[in-house]
Amino acid sequence: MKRQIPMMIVLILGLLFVAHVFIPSKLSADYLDWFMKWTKVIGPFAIVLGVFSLVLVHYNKIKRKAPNWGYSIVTLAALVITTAVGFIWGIQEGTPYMWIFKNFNVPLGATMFSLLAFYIASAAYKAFRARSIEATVLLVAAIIVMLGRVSIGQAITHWIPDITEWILNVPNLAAKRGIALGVGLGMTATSLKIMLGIERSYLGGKD
Amino acid sequence: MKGATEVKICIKFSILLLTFTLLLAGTAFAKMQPNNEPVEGLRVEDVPHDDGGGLILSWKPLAKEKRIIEYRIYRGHTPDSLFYIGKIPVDAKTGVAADTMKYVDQGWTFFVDATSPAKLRHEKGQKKGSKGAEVLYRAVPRDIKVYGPLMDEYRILSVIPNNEYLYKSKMKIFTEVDTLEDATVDTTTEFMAGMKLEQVKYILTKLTTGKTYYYAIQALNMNRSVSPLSEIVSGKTTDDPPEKLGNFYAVALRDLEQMQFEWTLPVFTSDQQQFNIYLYDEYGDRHLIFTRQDAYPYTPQTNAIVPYDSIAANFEAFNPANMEWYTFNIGEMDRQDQETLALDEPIPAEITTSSILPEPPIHFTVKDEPNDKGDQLQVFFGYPFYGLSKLTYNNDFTKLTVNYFINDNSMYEVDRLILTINGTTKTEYVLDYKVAFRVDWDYLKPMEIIGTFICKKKGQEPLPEDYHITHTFIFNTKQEMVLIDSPPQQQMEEMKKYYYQIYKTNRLSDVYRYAKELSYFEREYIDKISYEENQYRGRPKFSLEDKRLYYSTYLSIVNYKDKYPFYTQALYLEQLRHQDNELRDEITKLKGELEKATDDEERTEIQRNIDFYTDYLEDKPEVVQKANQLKSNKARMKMLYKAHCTNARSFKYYIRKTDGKGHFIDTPVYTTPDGTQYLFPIQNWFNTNEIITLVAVLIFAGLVYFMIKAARKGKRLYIRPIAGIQEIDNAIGRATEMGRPILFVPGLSGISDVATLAGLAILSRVAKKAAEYDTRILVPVRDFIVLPIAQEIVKEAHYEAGRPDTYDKNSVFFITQAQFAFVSGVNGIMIREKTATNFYMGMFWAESLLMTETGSMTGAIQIAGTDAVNQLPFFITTCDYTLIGEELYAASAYLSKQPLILGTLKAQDYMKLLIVITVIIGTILSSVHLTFFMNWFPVK
Repeated sequence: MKRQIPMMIVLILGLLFVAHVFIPSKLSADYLDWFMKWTKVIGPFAIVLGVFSLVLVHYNKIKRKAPNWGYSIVTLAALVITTAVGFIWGIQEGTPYMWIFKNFNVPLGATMFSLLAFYIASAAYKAFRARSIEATVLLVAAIIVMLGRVSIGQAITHWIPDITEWILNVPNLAAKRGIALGVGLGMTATSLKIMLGIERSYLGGKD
Repeated sequence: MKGATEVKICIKFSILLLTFTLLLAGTAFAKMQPNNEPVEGLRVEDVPHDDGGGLILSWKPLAKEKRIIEYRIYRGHTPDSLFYIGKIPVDAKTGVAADTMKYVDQGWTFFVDATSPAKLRHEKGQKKGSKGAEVLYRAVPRDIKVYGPLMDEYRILSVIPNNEYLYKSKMKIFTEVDTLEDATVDTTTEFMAGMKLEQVKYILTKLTTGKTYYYAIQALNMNRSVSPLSEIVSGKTTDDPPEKLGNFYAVALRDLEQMQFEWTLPVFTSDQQQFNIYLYDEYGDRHLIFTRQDAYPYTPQTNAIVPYDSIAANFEAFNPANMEWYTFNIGEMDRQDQETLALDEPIPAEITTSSILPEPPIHFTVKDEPNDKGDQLQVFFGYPFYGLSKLTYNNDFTKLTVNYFINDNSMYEVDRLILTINGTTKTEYVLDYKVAFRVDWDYLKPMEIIGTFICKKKGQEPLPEDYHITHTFIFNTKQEMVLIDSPPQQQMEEMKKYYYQIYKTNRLSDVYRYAKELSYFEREYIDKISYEENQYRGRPKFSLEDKRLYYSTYLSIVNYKDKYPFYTQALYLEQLRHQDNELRDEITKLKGELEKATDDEERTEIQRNIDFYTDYLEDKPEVVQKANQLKSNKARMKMLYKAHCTNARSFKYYIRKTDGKGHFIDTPVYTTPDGTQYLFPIQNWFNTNEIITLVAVLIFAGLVYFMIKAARKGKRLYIRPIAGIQEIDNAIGRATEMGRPILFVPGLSGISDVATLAGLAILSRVAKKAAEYDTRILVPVRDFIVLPIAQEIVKEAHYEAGRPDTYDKNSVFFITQAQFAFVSGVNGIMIREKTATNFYMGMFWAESLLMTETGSMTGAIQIAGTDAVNQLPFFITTCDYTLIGEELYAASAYLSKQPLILGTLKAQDYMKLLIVITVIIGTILSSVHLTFFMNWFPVK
């Protein structure tokens, strides 16, 4: 019963959602709205689980004096301080919470994101080394596309932007659509497996 | 010892960070001037031309150095009842550049609802229990003792959900006894619908006319300290005469013996009652010749056709032959009968004939929009139109690329567009909005592009053979671009001169309202007819004892035979019977008076009243008669409400083609072939656009069924080997040999993403294998809901492997929801824990490369799988193996080797084959201009 009831719920709700795609009536639209409201309710309860997990992991690290446990103090201190200032002074513009967000969270996030530029250069170097025919084709295509996207490409010859457009619109788009087709079928198959109870790993192990 | 040193470093770092933070904060706030000066120069003025429901506040903003982030506005009907009503946010860094700030307190604003604070609360910084002037309160609370009396000071509009108002209200009878001058006692009984505030969606408020209101402003700075309160200033609302209308045109059409008037609306329109058109005769005397009712709360018609007969009925001496003697003007009248004339001097009419009018739109049709939830009607007319969005020559002017658009409608749906330039014709079999021409003309000369259409055959009249649309274009050497419709040619000039106005009215009203304006090239309008969810009622009575609001009780049913434009019905049966009895009593009383009356005029008047009341009692709409026979209040209301909805959502339409200057022509009101004028949107129970999808789903489901059946029977199903999946076991083995943990990231998306579900399915197999090899697995999670599921999966995997003792709940843990903070957390784990194998299975965004490049640098073997096409190149570049798209979904089946799951995989392959065959057939047929097959598949 522990598994059968959730599987029954999945099957019934799954069929209802499939039916929604084909039934445009008001009843169907209202059902979807109603259901979406309920899914929003689950979110806040799940936050408690997440925060509990975070506290437990770092508390255990501190308790066991695991390697680098000092970082756990910083993490928990940040959690407590941010939560406390949010509850005490609110989260509007001008509150300490917003100050922390703007002066810690945003710059740290931007720092991580800006690293992406260097990582892309590093990844491009690896990808474009002409070690094989395929890699050489990739290298040539990349050079054409890059040149075609800047004005110097047009200055060299108008063929470069034209070829760029062709590469992006024909082979690139064809590959993308091929992948999208497979993904669509994969999603449908996975959904079908879940609805029919063939795939049950999301319930926690045991096939 | 090493650990202790690390802790010391961390503590020192934390202290340093804290000091830096405090210094930074100190520096930031040190620049800020103290917020100890009140806002000055507060003035309150009446809004001109309004309905007496608006005041404008203006004040001088505080200096930029004060770092103000918002100005808060407080309002009250007395100086000691100031409630917070709104704020104006300000950028603290830039401040306010203008000398004056303004806030317009006009229109309906929020007053109170079930989410308002429970009790009266002072603003922060105000002492509790303090009273008198300069005491500020937060929003109006849902305490009836507070908001009840306040309602008397404002105009009130309550928005009540239908369900609550019609079926869940509590009837209460209010009786008022008045002693009249002649000592007779007059008893008035009023039935009202009682509701608790929780049953009301929300209550809105607006200033009332002729009352004084008090205002004060308080500024809040970045430090969230508030300035002292500004001076409390009052202002009185005044109902002003309406604003002047924008333009007014008068046209006399001799042959049609009618006049046409057109005007434009002013900015403020909510107080309009009617528009009066006046004729000034040769002596300058004014005669009212036409009145157009306003359509509040909707936009009214801004034009009128007045036949000469109708003018003569209002002005006996009217002589069309002397039209040049007359002048005309229009007045806008508000609900207090104040009128403003549009023009200082009346204008003469343009005397002409109907030949000046445009051709009316043809094939005007209204029909139900298919495949919807019953909230749309299609309004369409005319033949199709094509326009040019962009024309581009190539560098050496040998090729012209034409980008075009098509506006068609349900009747004339374009199948092919045939374009001709300089004798060269191109047929667009597939309308991809782009066609190229080889240039065989002088590109510096103006050229014509002629478009003709072939429409899909739907049983409609064919397009006229000579129907075409011609555009002109020329290459402008200075701007180095092609100018479209340049030089202008007659056909386009004629088309652009006019636009279309769609008007509609429902069965509850006798006044047409403006629905939509369409430009010259549009041919279709989808009219959204929303389902009615709320009833709107004015100011309620309230009772402090039973804590209820009491609303008037009626439901509009229909515009009945035009004699009762808003035929309403009482909510309760008891109320209905009471009303009927009162009417009968009145009739009896009148009959008595009739017998006594001797004066003929008096007798006629009494008889007229008797007839009116008798008619009202006896002549009722059929649905009302049926409903009133029911004995249950709920059943009666259900029937009446259904009729109300049907009538409120049934519309009739007509179209006016106009140049905005009085030269307009109307279509007749659309009538269906069976004679119906009112159309009601019908909800559909099957979306025919999804037939192909349904067929595909059924075929796929069938394939899955047969493949599973075949697999169960023991048929050997060949599955293409995928290196990434085959290497999963080896990767786990590597981690075991090295004695280092495995990292598994199940994507950054939520549980509703199928990729996450596929990732979790793979986690199940990987965790089981890791448990068998006694290797630690670390699963950092970004989504709260994924966390318990991942924990359960890993736990079950350990139990299945027979190693429940090795399961560590803390190995599956939440890091953060912030995307890049999560990446830094995962990267830290890779570096500190020196993970031997990293799995990335699920949905990823920009963070993918940051994680995999770090993993690559730490020397871990990495296997990724995602359906995010944009992230695949990054995974392929930095990971050892990548599962591309569908392979992610197939991985679980590969690893399990179960016939059931393998069957679905095989079905997937067959379905793909079927789709590829369909694509090839479509490509071949489209290449030979047979587009019917392609058109079976609707474009999303």
